[in-house]
Amino acid sequence: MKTYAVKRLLQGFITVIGAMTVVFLMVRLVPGDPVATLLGDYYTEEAAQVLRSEFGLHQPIYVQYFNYLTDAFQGDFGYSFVTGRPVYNTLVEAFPFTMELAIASLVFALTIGVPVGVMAALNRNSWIDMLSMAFAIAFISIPGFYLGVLLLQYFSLGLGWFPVTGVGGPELADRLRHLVLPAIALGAPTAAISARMTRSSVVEVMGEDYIRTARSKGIHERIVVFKHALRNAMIPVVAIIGLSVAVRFGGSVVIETVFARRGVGYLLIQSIYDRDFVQVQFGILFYACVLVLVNIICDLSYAGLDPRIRYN
Amino acid sequence: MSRFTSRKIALLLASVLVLGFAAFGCGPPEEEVEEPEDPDVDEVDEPDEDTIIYAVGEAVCGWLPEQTTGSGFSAPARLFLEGLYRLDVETAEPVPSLAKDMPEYSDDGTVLTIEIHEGAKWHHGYGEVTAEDVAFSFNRHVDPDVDSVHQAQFWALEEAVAVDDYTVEFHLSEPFGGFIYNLTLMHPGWGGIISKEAFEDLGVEGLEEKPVGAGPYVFNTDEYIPREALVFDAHEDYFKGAPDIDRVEMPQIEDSSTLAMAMEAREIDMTLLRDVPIWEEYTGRVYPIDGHTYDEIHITKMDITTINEPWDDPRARWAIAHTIDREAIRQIVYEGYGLIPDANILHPDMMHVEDIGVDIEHDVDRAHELFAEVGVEAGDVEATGCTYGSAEYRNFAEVMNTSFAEAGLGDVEIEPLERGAFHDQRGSVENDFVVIAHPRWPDPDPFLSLVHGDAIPPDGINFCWWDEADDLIDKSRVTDGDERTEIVTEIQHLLSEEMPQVPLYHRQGFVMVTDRVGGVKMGPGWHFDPYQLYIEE
Repeated sequence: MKTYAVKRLLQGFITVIGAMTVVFLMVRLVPGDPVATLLGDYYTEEAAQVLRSEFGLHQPIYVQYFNYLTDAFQGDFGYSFVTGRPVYNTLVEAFPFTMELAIASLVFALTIGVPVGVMAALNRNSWIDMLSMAFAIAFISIPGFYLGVLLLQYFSLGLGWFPVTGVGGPELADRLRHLVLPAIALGAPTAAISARMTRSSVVEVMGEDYIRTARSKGIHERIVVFKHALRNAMIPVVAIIGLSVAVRFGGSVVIETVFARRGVGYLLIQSIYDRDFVQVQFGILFYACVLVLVNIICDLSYAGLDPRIRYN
Repeated sequence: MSRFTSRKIALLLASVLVLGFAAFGCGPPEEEVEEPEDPDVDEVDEPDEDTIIYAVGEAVCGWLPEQTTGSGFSAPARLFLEGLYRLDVETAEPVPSLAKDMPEYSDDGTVLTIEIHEGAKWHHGYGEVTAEDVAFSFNRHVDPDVDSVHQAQFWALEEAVAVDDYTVEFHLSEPFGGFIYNLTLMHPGWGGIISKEAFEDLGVEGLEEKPVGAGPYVFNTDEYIPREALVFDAHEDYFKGAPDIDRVEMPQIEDSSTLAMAMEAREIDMTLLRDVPIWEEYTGRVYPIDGHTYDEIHITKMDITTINEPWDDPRARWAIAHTIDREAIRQIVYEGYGLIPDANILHPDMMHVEDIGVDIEHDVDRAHELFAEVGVEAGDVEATGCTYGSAEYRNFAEVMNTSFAEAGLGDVEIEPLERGAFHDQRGSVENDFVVIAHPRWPDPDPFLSLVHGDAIPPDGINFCWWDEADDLIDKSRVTDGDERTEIVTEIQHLLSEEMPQVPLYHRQGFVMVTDRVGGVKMGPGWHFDPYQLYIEE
């Protein structure tokens, strides 16, 4: 297990370095001069030279890459072209808002998805099953940004229950009010996937011998379902939950834009729009790290969830 | 019921749900303004009584005027910075602000003397604004050690000198009638004055963290979130008196739909908008959103590479101009808003600009005749051009390409490019045409500089590679108003005859406001002035 963990961490490190290199090259090799973008219609060659020199863009690309890697290993990820602030600080300030959104969306997904999946499985082929699976397909099919706009239309503008933009003030109640709709928009597809996964998993487990044995021993059906069946049915569901956390971070790019919510995704979109190379490459590096970490944790957690699984 | 049948039913139900959501979401906009029956609904998140929330769409690239680029700076700059002059909201002409009066010119026009108000105070306790601060601020733009991004703008300035505490002189290398615009606080803020003492105390990095100005509002450093929110509090010691509104918040929201919904929910009081369909959908139709339009001092034009054949002949340039249906651009891309320019790029609202009565008609037959005169069959004309890749300019290019096709031209196409690619490619002589937009201000010089030989690439953005008006443009910089008008008119005639650039469209700007905001005045080139606004009771 320990060897496996070290091996996975090493692989993760190499993946992150690869991601850093690809992102560094991509943002520089795509057509376009960030300085020209910054100056826009007020472009003059003198002004452009001043900015290129200031940002180190006048140096050959391999020098820029070497500087980027050496600085990154010392914890210096560079300064934003636009705001002039360290990109690390800006991202770290935005991170808690994305984290709270990801967690809230996951909580929503699980509290809706798992019970619906169980209900559908226990009432297989009934109208409950059909309706819940229909909703599941619908929520998988509707893009998050569109669902976000619909939620805003009805719950914010129509009923006035929730605000349209922002993350809210320091008070918990205000923060939660700002969190509800984005969490639903972001969590709906995961809720739908969880419901479908839970349903098929519970259906499969309910046909196992040990369930029949439990029933034959006269154990109450509720205990059969929740103690014996659900516990085993959750293994594949829990596995996808880990990955969906990483996916939620990716999905936050769109949802944070629709709700004008402060966060890493919104920051990344604005940085791309502003052609802020340094902020973009750190943002993508951050996402790469999250994905790699979550993958490693998921892989390692399988053994914890199912003692039959062992790593060689 | 078989498993197959139940799956089909589930899929059918899902389809009905998806279509149902889509149908609800795509419903038509309200046709009339209807006040809500339940007033409580619209009281959700209403801003504090003495606060205005003005959403901006662009990030701010730093706070020191000398290093600031992009238009995101202009609105906040006018709040916390002070300038010798500000733009009059209705006429867009410079009017005294920190300066007591308009400048006095020396006999040879190379020295401007300006007296400033006594008693103007810097924010954060940095004392009184003096002529020394003014001279220090402007000299930084021409100091080679500072590397101001606006140094080209200050080409005429040799030195600013503080004569006494309240008098400053600007020494120019030659007379320049348009120089006063450099002293005016406007987009992108190069007229802003900074405190010499604060600069010496905090340095460049310190001032980026804690901007110090002398304008009507104080930058709230505690609540500042880069790229997210700017907050300004009233400057109680402002030399013209503290502003009526206690606080201005500027959240940054780029998505137009979100902006409009936030206004409908009263989370935002006002914003500038670029999205015409959103404007049409919401303004005056959805309570409480109302709006104002204004003619921007702005030109979208097609630069013709005059060193390429057949475009080196003015008749070919006029021919291509005749093929473009500019009214179609206005109707299709801008839903009928904006102005169609005359045959020269100068905006009719600019100072010293006259109506010379030369227009470009959409006349395909005339275009064919002119092409024939230069020895080219219209059907054989081949040309490539480029423009921005935004949705607005993709539509723009599509209408232009349709015009070229309908005119029976051979292979003429304007290609929309991603913004960075466009910036890279626009200076190449391989382009025959470059469709590009320029926002400017009412002095004609910045527009005329776009066709000056000094701006031919790689040193500038004269993508028509044309310099025949250089002498006249140089002469037009005189300080005598009548003389300037005469020379500018002569340039207008020359541009109309030579057609190095086809003027395509003068843009209209849109300001969306809720019924909570009063005092919004519009003029040529709307310039947000915090003093003009008040909160309706």
